[in-house]
Amino acid sequence: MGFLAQHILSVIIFFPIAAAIGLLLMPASDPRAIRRNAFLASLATLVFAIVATVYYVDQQRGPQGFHGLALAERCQWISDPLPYNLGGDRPAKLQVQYYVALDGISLPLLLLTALLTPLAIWSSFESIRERVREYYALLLLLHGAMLGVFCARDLLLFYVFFEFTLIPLYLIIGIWGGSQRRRAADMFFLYTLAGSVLTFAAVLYLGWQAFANVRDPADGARVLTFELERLYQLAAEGHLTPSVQSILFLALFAGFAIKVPLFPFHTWLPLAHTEAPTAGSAILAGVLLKLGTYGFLRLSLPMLPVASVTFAPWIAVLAIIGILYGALAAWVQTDIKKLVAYSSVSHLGFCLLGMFSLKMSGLTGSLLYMVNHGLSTGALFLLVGMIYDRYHTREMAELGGLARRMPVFAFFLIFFTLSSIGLPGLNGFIGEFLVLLGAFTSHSTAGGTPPGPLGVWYAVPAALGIVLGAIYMLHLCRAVLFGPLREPRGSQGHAADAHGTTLPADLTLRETALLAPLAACCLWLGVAPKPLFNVMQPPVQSQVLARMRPAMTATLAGNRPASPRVTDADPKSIRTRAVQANPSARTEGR
Amino acid sequence: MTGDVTQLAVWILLAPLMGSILIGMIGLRGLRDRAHWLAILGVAAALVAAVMLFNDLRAIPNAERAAAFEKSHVVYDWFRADAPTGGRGWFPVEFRIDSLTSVMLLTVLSVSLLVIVYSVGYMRDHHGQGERGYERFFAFLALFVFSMCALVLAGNFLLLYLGWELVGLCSYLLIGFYYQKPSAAAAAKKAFLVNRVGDFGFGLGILLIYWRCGDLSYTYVFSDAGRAALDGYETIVALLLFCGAVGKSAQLPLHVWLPDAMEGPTPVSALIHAATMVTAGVYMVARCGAIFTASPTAMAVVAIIGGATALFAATIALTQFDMKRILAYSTISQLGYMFLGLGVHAPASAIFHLFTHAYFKALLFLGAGSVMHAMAGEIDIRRFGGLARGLKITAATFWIGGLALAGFPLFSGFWSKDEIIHAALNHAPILGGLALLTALLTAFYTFRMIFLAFHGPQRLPPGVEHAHESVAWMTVPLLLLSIGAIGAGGVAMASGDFNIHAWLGPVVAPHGEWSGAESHAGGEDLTLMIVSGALSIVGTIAAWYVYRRRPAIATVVPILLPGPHQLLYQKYYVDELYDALIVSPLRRLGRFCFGMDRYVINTLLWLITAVPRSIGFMLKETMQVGAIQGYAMGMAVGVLLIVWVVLAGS
Repeated sequence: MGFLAQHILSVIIFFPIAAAIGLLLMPASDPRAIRRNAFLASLATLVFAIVATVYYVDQQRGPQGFHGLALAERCQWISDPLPYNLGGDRPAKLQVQYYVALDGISLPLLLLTALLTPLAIWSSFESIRERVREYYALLLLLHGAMLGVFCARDLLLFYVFFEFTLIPLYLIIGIWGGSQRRRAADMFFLYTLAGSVLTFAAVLYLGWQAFANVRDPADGARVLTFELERLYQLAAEGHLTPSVQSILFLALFAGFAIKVPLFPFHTWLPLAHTEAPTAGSAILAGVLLKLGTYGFLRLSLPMLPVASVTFAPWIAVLAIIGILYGALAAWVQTDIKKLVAYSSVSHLGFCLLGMFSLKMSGLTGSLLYMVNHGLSTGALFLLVGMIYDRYHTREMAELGGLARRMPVFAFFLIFFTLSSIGLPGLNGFIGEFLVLLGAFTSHSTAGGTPPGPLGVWYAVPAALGIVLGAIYMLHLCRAVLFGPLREPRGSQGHAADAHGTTLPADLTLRETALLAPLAACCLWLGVAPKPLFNVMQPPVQSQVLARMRPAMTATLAGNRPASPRVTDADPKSIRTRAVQANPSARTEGR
Repeated sequence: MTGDVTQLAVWILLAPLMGSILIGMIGLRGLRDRAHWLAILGVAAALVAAVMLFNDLRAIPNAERAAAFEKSHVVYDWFRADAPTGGRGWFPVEFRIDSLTSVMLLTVLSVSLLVIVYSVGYMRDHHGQGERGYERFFAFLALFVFSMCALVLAGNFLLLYLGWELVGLCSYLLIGFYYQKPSAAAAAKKAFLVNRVGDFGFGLGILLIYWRCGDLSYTYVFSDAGRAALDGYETIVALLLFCGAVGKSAQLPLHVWLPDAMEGPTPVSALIHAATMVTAGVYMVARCGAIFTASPTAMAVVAIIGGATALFAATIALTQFDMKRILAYSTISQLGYMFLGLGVHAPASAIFHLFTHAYFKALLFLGAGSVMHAMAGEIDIRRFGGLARGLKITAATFWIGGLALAGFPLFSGFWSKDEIIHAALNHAPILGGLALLTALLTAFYTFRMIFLAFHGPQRLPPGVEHAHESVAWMTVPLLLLSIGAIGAGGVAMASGDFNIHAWLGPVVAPHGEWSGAESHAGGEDLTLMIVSGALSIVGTIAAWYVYRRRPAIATVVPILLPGPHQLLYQKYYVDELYDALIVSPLRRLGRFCFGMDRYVINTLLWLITAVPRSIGFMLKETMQVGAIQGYAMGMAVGVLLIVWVVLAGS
C-alpha cells in the first residue's frame, strides 16, 4: 500500500488544516483566488473521503461483513514513563496516542461532513465580502477538526478535536454574523464550554481509572491511557460501579446534551443560528450538532452501559419534550431561520429517542437520522440564505408567493421540506420510521435481544411530533412560496445587495449546483439505502449493542418478578433494578 | 409467469413515473404546450400493462389462484430494522398482485387516462394556450398515477404507507395548483395536515403490527402465523389502521379537508378527490380483511362511521350551492356507503361500489368542470340556470351521472348501492335504514343541482355572453365515462372472471373471514330493489317538484327553519369547532413554549451566570485596583504554590 492508503485519515484531517494555514499566507488583496482555493481544498478533502470510503469497503469486504475498524493509524503522542511515583511498586507510563481509525458508525458522518463543507464554502462566495481570507481559513480549520472528531479513537484526541471546533465557529458567528452576533457568539461559546468542562473532568477520570486498572501487557506497567478500546473494557470488567458510572454519565451528558441540544439546554441554538452567516448555520446544524449525538453513541453508551440504561428513560422524556416543544415553538416563529433552528431541536429529539431505545432499529435509525438531518436541514439553511441574499429579510410577513418569482427555489424548498417531514421515498422517512420502531419495540425481546428501557408509550407522543413537523414546515412553505406575491419594498426581485452585485430573481447556476447534490443524496438514501445499512449495522451491533448487552440483561434479570408492563411505564423501577442487579454482573466480570 | 407479472407491475409503475420526470425536464426546455402527450402516453402504457396483467391473472387455473394471489413479488431490498436475527431482515420493495389489485389498477388507470385527456382541453384559456403551470399540472397528474399504483400494488405495509403518503403529496400539490389564491394554498395545507392526523394512527398501527409479527409483509401478516401473532391485538391494530382510512377517505371526523380540496382544478377533483385517491381507505380496509374481520368491535366501528358519514354528508349536500362542493359531500357520503359495506361483511360489494362510483363521480365532476368552463369559472348554481340548451352533451352526460349517483334503476350505482344496503339490512337493520334514507336524500340533492343548473329559463353570470359546449378533448371523455356510468353495474351480472364477486372471492375471503352477508351476485332481494328504486325516483320527483314546479318552497324552507338550515349550510360548524378546540390552543401552546425559552430558561441562565459574574466583579473591585505591588505579590504566591505541588508530588 502506498502512502495515501496508509495515512488516508490523517490526510483527510490535516489537509484542510494545512490548507487553512496556506490560505492565511496568501495576499488578502485577491479574494477571488482565496475563495477558489478554499473551495478546491475542501473539494480535495471530499475526494480523499471518497477514497477512504473505497479503501474502507475494500478492506472490510469479507465473509463477516463490515465489522471492525479500518484504516487505523496510531502513534504515541504524549508518551513518557511518568517521573512521579504514582504507580506504587510498578513503573508507570503516560500513553496519550494519536490514534485514528474508521468504522461504519463514523464513515457516514465523515462523508456527510466532507460533503457539506465544500457546499458551505461555495455558498459563501457571494455573501462574504469582508475579511475573506480569515473567514475561509476558519471554515477549513473547523472542517479538519470536525473530521478529526469522527475519526479519533483516543478519548483525549477526541476531546481535543471536539473542543477545537468551538473556536472557529465562535469567530465565524462573532465576526461575520448578524446584528446580535456578539451576544450569540458569547452565548454559544460559554454554553458549550460550560458543558464540555464537565465532560473534560469525566475524560480525566476515565483515564485515571484506566491507569488504576490497565496494565501494559509487555512489562506490567500501569498505563495512563485514553484509548477507547481500553476504556470500553473498564465497565465490562466491572471497574466502574453504577454510581460512578452515573456521575460520569452526567458529566459527559453535560457536554453532549448542550451540543445536541437537548431540551432544556437548547436556548443557545436559535440565537446562534439566526445570527450565524449561512455557511455557519449549515455547518452548525449539519455537522456540529451531531458531535453531541455522536458523543453519546461513541462514548456514553458503550463506556457507561449501566448508567445509560438507567438514564435512558429520562433522556427519552427530555427528547420527547424537545420534539414537541421544538415543533410548537417552530410553528409560531416569524423569522424563517429561527423556524428552521427550532425544527432542529425537534429533530434531534428524535435522534436521541432512537438512540436510547437501545435497539438495533433505533440506533440505526438514529445514526441515519443524523445524516438525514445534516442533508435536509443543511439545505434548508442554504435556502434561507438564498432568500436573505436577495431580500435582506427573513420575516415571513414580508415575503409571500415567491413560487411565482422563483420556481426553482420553490422546487428545492418543497423538496427539502418533504425530506424533513419524512415523506416515504426520501431519506427522512426511513430514519424517522426506524427511530419510532426502536422506541416502540424497545422492550421487546424478539430475536433474543435483551429488552431496552423504552416502550410503546414513548413512541406515541413522539409520533405526534411527525404531525407537528408537517404543520410548521408546510406553514413555512405556504407563507413564503404561496399566496399573492409579496416582496420587501424596493427589492422587486432583483435586489442589488450592498456590494452592488445583482442576483437574478431565481436561483443562479451556482446555487442550484449547491442544492442538487444534497437533493440527490436525499433521494438515494430514501430509495436505495441498502449499502449504507450494510456498513452501519455490523459496527452498531459489535461496537455498541454488544457492549450494552450485560447491563441490559441485568435489567431483565431484575425485572422478571415484576410484571413486564412496569418496564415501559416506570423509569424509576428500571433505575433501581439496574443498580441492584449490577453487582452480580460485576463479580462475573472479574 | 410470475416473472412476467412482476415485470408488468414494474412497468405499470415506471411508465407514469417516467412520464412525470420527462415532463419536468421538458418544462425547462419550453416544450410545455405538448407536455400532455407524455402523461397520456405514460398512463396509457400503464393501462395496457394492467390489462395484460389482468389477463395473466385470469390465465391462472382456479385451483392455484389462492396460492398465486398470496405470493409476494419481491423487487429489491429497501432497508431493514434489525440485524437478520429478528424478523425477516430486510423490508423489501415487494408487490401483491391479485384480483383486488387488478380491479383497482384497471379502475384507477382507466379513469386517470380519461381525466388526463379531458385536462388537455380544460387547462387551456380561450385562445387554446396552456394555462400557467400547464406542464406542472400534467407532471403532478402522472406522479399521482404512479403513487396510486404503488399504493395498490404494495406488498407490505411500508410500501402501502409510501403510496399512501405520496398520493397525499400529489393531492397537496394539485389542490394548491393555483397557489397564488390564498384559499387554495390554505386548502392544500389543510388536506395534508388532516391526512397526517389520520396517518398518525395508521403509522402506529404499522408499528404495532411489526412489534407483534416481526414482519410487515402481507404474505406473513395475513397468514395464519401472522394472525396468531396479532391475537388479542386485532381490535387496536384495526382501529389504528382505520384512523388512516378515515383521514384519507374523508370520513367523520376527519372529513373536513375534502370539501376544501375543491380549490384545485376540476380534473383533480374528479380524479383524486372523487374517483381514486379517496378510495384508498376502502381499498386498505378490504385488503386488511384478515385483521378487521377478526375484531367484531372494529367491524362495528367501520360500519357505524361509514353509515353515519353517509347520512351526515348527504344532509350537508342538501343546502350547498357550489356544484363542486355538493359533489364533494356526495363523495364523502358514497365513501361512507363503501365503509358501511365493509363493516357489514360485504367487501366485494364495497369494492363494486368503489368501481361504479369511480366512473359516475368522475363523470359528474368533469361535467361540473365543463359547466365551469362555459360559465367563465362560475360554479354557484344560484348564478346560472337552464344550461341544457347550450351544453347539450354536458347536460346529457351529467344526467346519466346523476341517475347513476341517485341509484336510479338499471344504472350502475343502483346495483352496487343496493348490494350494500342489502347486506346492511341483514346485518344491522338500523344502519340499513339509515342507508335507505341516505339514498332518498342522495336522489334529492343530485337532482336539485341538476334542475337548478340545467333546466328552467336560461340564466348566465355577468360577462358570459352565451353558454357554449366544450371542446372535443373534454366531451369525448364525458361520453366514454357515461358508458361506464351506465354499464359498470354489469360486472355484477357477468359470468366467470368478469363477475366482480367471483373474481374478488378468493382474495377478500380466502379464509372465509367475511362470512355472513356476502352478496349473491345480482340475485338481490327483489323487494329491496323495488324499494330502493322507488326511493330514488321519489327523491328525483321531489327535487323536480321543489325546484322546478314550486320554487317558492325552496325559498320558504330556510326562512321557516332558520336553525336547522344554518346548521347544515354551515356544515355543522365542524371547522369552527376544530379551530377553537385544537388549532388555537396548539398555537397558544407554541407561543407559550417560545415564551418559556425567552423568559424562563434564559432568566435561569442569567441567574446561574450571576454567580461567576458577581465573583468577578468583587475581584475586580478589590484586587484590580492598579497597584503593581499587589499583582506582583499574587504572582509570587501562585508560582510558589505550583512549585510546592510539583515537589510534593515527586
